Amino acid sequence: MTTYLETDPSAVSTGVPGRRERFRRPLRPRWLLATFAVAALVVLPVALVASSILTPDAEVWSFLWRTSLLEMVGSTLLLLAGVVIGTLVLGTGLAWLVATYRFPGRGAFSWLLMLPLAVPAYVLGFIYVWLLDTPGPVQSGLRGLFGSDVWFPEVRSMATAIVVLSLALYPYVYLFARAAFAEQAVATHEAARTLGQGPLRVAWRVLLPMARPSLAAGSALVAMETLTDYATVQYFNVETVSVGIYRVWNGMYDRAAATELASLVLVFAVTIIVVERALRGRARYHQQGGSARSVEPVRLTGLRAWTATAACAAVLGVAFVLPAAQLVNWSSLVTLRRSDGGLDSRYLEYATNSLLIAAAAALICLVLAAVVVNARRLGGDRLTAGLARVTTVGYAVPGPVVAVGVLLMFAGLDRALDAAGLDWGRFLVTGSVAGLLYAYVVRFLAVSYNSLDASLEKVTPSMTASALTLGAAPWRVVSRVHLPMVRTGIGVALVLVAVDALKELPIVLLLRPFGFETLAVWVYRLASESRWELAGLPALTIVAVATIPVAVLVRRSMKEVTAW
Amino acid sequence: MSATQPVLRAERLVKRYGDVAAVDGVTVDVAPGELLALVGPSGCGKSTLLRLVAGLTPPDAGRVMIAGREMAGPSTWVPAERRGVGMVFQDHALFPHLDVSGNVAFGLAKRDPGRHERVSEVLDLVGLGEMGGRYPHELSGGEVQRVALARALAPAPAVVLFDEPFSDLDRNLRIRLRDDVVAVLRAAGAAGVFVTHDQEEALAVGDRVGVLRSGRIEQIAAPQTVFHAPANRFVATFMGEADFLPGQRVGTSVKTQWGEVPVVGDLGDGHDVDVTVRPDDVHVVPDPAGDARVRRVEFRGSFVVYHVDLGDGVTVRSMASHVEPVGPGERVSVRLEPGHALAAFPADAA
Repeated sequence: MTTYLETDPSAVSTGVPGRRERFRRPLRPRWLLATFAVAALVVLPVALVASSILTPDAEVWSFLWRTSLLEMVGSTLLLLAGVVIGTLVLGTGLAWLVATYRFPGRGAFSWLLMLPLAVPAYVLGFIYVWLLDTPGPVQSGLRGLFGSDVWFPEVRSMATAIVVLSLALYPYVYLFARAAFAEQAVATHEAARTLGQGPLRVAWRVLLPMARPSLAAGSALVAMETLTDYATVQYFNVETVSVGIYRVWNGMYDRAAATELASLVLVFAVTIIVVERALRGRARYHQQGGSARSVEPVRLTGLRAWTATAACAAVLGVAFVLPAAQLVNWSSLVTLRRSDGGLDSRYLEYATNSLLIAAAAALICLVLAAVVVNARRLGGDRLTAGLARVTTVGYAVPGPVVAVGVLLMFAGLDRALDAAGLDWGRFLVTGSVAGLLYAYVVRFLAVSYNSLDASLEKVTPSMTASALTLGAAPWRVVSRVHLPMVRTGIGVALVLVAVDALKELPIVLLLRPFGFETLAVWVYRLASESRWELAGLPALTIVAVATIPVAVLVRRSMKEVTAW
Repeated sequence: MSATQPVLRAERLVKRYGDVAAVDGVTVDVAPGELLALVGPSGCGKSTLLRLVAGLTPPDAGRVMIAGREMAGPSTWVPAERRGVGMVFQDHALFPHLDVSGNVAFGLAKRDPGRHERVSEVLDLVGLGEMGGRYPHELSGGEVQRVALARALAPAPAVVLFDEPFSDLDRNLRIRLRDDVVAVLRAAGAAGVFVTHDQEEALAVGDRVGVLRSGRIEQIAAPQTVFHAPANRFVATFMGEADFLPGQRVGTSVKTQWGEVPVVGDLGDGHDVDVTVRPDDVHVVPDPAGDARVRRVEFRGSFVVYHVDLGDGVTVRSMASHVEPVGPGERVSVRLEPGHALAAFPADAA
């Protein structure tokens, strides 16, 4: 009859096979190598900045110390604290209102309140400077009413910067908080109510502690954005470390000082991540069981209902409606005022620049993300998975740090090319958009990666395995099975990166080749020169484009809302 | 089998995840055209073993040979796409963006002039000749599995691997489909390795059945052997309902309180042994003077199973057609009537 075949004692007696027999090789060496290359590409500029922490330049630091280092660090900390508290109050408060109460307009507000995401802080900022500063309509109006010596708080100040950034960034906290409140199983909430706790106490003792990890994540995003910003805060004469980088680089081309300051920003960023992890603790974002039914909202009546409506309307008004309306107003003024009725020719040129650079960044990110995502799927080993995660770290690194890192890399490259007798290195460094694109890839690769990765979940591991066992080479599995099935993910990845790149300001300000203007840079320059009307149209364009991903977000959350 | 070269050979395969050896030194051969069923509780490593053979996971040690060629070894590694094995998955894994023909043609070379013919040939083989233009979401559960099988068979692999292919289907469909799959595989002349956690399925499908536990093969033999002459207590209880009755070994039989029965193998004389009995080996008759008592009567449709207390904490199950009127609490006498040799194990090695 048949043979035997059982466990072979020699192989199992020790549990460990002979050393020589043991082999661990990567399943897909070439894909692993490609992933490694992408990871190195992303990490290198950040690592260059980080390494300057380890080798501080005493001379530079004493120079910085003598100038304004302490003030810069102080205002950075103050700004971070203020904006985080401001967004927590606004975001959590609004999310709590729409999640636990029923009042007129609640359904619409629940998604309308995300719209301010489409208004970059540097746009919102200049609109408020225009509105509130001495020559602006508010103070003029007050002077007309009460005479010329009417008191008004200083507009170009830390306090206004905090308020404006909070209005621009609160949707991050709002999104996370709302999702957390919606996810909390109704049972937990009702159990607390039946234990004799009123709604406010439930909010304080159950809803908020359970939402803590989400609030921490939202606040961390806010803190990162605040840290990255240096356009908005400059309108308000706030000198953060990021502003310092821009000053020493653009004003003095002092690469050493810029590097040291960038490493300081990196320390801030790492601290934010560490604090977020600590706050998140071992808690999960999602409650187990994933009950579809969420907390039953309490119906508000009379004055209280209208107060809730008014609160939502007020925030939406100042953070989105008013600025958007003013941008439309300016845009039409510009068109009307010109005799030929045409557009400023610079508008088209800069818009084209923006579009091209955004499209190029989106495409490069897509290709690299596709390589990494597929390598992880095809290889499946821990090394590839770890390297894939590394390729996404750029999103957690503030823009100025990435920019300075890329500058350092290109400077090194330039020296190397000079040494090799090639003189086009200088052009590469200062005269081309290569550095800009590189920095965009470092910063936004995570966005492409995440959309593709989420989309690839539709392709089950056994589909990949089936395709392979049917004899399809990896590239064919990718082109015939993976890519056709993740088409929507590809689209989303392209759009999200393109929009991010179009809105982006700190990186492009540091890395743009001489004379290269984008819409964002133009808006910033016009706003700095108080030429508000001219800034209207490009700013409106940016807001309109930035509405696309917000609309996607809204549509996705509409499903949640209908479940409410 | 000794004369023919095995179409598939796994040698001392080891795969560890952390400290856990999912596959712990497994050696197994599959002859051309043979169907091997691998069965074991969940987590026993049977699916991992399949992935090692398919080349979807690299082993930590050991060797995989397919059609005489080394596919994985100390210095060899051939990835899945160059191994020429077919694989059918539990979730069928059809490509949703391709129609049935597209799915089946996927493994065939684009320039192959016989491509269309081959597609309709294998579709006919699985009885879906008219379904080429349908998309996976337009198929029933059984049709989906047939397409998955057709797709795996299209490139004419020497061996097809099945990873719990029917566990998503309901029982009736599962049995029908299983018989069809075996017939199709035989018609195609391909060998098959069939992983399942369903003992009945393993016994019904396999020319041989391999029982796995904790990454090791406990026994591998013909279905009858595995069932009637299990290599150890684990195999005995895992492959079917088994009770162990104490007795003394006498030559080739065991003397028990309930009769003397022939046993397989040879343990030597005078040993205290436990003899493995299955419900169909035990006969129960109503007997007011009997020293056994029916504890429970379990109705199973076409027969009943009596759970009988034999005293001293020993219980046994007995299968009977339910015309016999014995109720719970009644006294009975128990007789062993196996009609074949039973397996026995030393009493102290529990």
